[in-house]
Amino acid sequence: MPVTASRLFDFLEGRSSCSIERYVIASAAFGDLRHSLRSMIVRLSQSGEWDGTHISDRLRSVLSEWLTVPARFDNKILLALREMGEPEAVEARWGRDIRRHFDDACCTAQELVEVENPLRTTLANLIQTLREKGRSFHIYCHRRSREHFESLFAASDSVTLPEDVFIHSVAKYREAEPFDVLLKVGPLRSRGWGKAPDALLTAPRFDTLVQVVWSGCGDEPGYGYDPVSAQLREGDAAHYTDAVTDRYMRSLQLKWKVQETQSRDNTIGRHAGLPDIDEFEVFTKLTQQADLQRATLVQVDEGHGILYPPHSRVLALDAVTNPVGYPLPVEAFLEGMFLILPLLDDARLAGLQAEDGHFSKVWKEKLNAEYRRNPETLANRLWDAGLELLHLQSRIAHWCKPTSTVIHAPQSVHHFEILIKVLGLDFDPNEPTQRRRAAWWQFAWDEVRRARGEAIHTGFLEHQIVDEQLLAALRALDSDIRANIGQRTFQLAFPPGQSLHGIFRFYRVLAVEEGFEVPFGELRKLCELTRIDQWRV
Amino acid sequence: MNFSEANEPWRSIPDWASFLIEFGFAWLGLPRAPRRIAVVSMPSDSAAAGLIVLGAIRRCLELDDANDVGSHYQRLLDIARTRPKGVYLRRAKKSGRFTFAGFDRDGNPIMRNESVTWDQRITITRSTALNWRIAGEAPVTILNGQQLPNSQFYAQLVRNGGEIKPSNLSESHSQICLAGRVIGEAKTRGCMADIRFSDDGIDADLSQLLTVQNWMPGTVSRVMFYNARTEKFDRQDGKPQVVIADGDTSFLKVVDGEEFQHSDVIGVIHRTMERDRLEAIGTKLEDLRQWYAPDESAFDGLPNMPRGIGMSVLKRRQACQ
Repeated sequence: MPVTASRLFDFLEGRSSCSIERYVIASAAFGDLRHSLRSMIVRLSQSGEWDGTHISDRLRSVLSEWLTVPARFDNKILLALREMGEPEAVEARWGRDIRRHFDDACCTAQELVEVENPLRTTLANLIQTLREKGRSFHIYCHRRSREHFESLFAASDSVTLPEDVFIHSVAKYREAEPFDVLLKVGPLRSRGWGKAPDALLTAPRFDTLVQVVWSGCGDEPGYGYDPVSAQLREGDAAHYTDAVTDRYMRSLQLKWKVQETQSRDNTIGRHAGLPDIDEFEVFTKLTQQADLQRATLVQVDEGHGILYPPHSRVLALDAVTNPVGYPLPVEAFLEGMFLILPLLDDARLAGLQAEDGHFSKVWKEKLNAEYRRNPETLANRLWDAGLELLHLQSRIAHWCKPTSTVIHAPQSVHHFEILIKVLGLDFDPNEPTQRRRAAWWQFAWDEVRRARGEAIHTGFLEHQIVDEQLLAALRALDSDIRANIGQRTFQLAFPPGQSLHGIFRFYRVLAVEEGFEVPFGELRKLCELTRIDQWRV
Repeated sequence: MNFSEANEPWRSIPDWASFLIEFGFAWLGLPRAPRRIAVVSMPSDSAAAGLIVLGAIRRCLELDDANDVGSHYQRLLDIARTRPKGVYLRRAKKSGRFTFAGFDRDGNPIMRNESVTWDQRITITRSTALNWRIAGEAPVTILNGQQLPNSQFYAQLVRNGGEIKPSNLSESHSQICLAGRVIGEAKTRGCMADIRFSDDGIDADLSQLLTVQNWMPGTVSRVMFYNARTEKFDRQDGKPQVVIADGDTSFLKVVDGEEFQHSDVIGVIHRTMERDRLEAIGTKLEDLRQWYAPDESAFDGLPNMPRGIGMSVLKRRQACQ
């Protein structure tokens, strides 16, 4: 239940101002690493080569995470760097300049593994103090960042961070009763890594925002946006960030007092004189792919989600008030609702789809056997056949995983075809021709697409009538739906007597998150969150 | 009069709720303008839209001719001419379901009773029109001197309100429209029901005081309801003077809706949303500024906002009329 408006207004009336305590952490060694990685990321993204872009995105992802969560300085960055290959290979492929930054980054990353992250130390002290003073506090962070906060006190039996300390979404923030302190790691950004809702500033329900941030990382221009308080002009946004935010606050009669504390750790590091700059600002200016589309993520379990274009209408089921599915704008989805994925039987797969995973069982068994026999040989055969992907061996290992929410498989149809052909899978020539209306790999690919929820969408776009028929089918399933509504996911076959055949998959929505820019081809399909992360703005 | 939200203890009406009721009341008293669009931004999800509607209803209860009586015969004539599918009439205190069967020589609609086996036909005249209502809608008037339930609450809602005309309490009115949440009517109603008023040992919740036909059938209705999810009105005549939209999506639907092009629109949003949704509202306001100008003077006629509430008011530029 959201906190009542009366309670919130009483809280706002009782305070003439709220405060931001900003702890700015600098570290010579981490500053070195940031400098090296930043230089590589920028240069590689401008290389125009697909593998350059891939490495750049990977490094950007890891660095962005370290800048926005209290992660241990572990070997994650080192591993990401090693994926580029040996130093000589890096120089041969990318030139001396990248090699120099690569060497520096590897060296610093290695040294950092030995030391404690000063941001974690500061944060742990702050939390300890809050607890000693008996102040009520919450931590705003991404769901998957929580483990880093919990690990701050992993060695302590007396200090734990209960689940309700964490706020992971604007919906949860909406429900929070007024409290004393909100902790936030990283800059205030409305999208992407470390994002937090503008409401932290425009609708505070706490006295103090304690922000722990790496030096150089500034808050996003215009953060604390309120559409009605001020008509934002572009020039203002670019040059007078504080002025814009101030104007929103003035209009809402809210006041924020900011107090900043700086600290610096120079124990290790070579270039102590280098200024830290705002990576997020740098990254935003990097060349963007032209065919990207803004998207909203609907997370359906711990590891999977679907990206939808803004304002798409999606079949939904409100477990509390509305037992019958109805297309809702994706923005109106609430946690706890069900997302309904209709999977229509594919004409080509006729007669085979009832047996879910029919083809994937076969090719995964074969892939597993080949991989266990000799992973390197298999990778070489695939590469030679044209499956030229970075870190091919680890990808093959991933494809070997058993089918879960999705069938783990190559993302592109071309790569999938190569994989199946290299595995030597095809129909038995003695099988009835009716079953062999297409190549074996095409059937298998249809199965992968279907599991990702792709097949139906063509129908959706091309035949509005299907929409009506789906609703009719859902209504006919009302009592079955009610019987299953307590579950997190379930599936029901279309009722008999309908012109459409297939199944509905029901996924309870874990979170709805905006702030993604995605290639068109990746929209509306079930995808792993680790893959989705690369499209965070 | 006391106030309670979500079963919290009774208290006097808090400033924020009082402001919203006064705002709805004052809006209908603003000097005439071609069309105004306002967005009220709240720090949390609330029944703010309902409170504004309540204030607007309160204003109309003071006004002469704030009823559907005069226009009812004309509405019946219009429906008889266009014969929309699925529309039929009922007679006050009589059974039977009537459909249009033609017109008499004076142009009055003739109704045929579909519920009987013989050919029963009745003509509707200007003087008998009030005995008829469109099935599914509120009656135009309650006969025999009855009034809206909970009518004692309306008098006390605003500080400097005028006197309520008793006849308005027994007649329906369709000039104020509540556009519900896009997530559905049940959610809208549930949210409104969370707010309760109490006076002299009697209490009523906001969903009852709003007199939405589906939420309180069997009596007159002083507000039209627009279901933003199904995009349907709860009555046939969909041209309100002012529409109050509950939520950002509902506002975006209504502000561009053809049915509302001559209505003032008040959108009520809350700021605990993702940036994209906030920006959709900001972009819409920016777009509107091609044809609308900020109406600073409107604020002179509106009550002062409490801390945490933001508002923007636009007025259609004269040249565009």
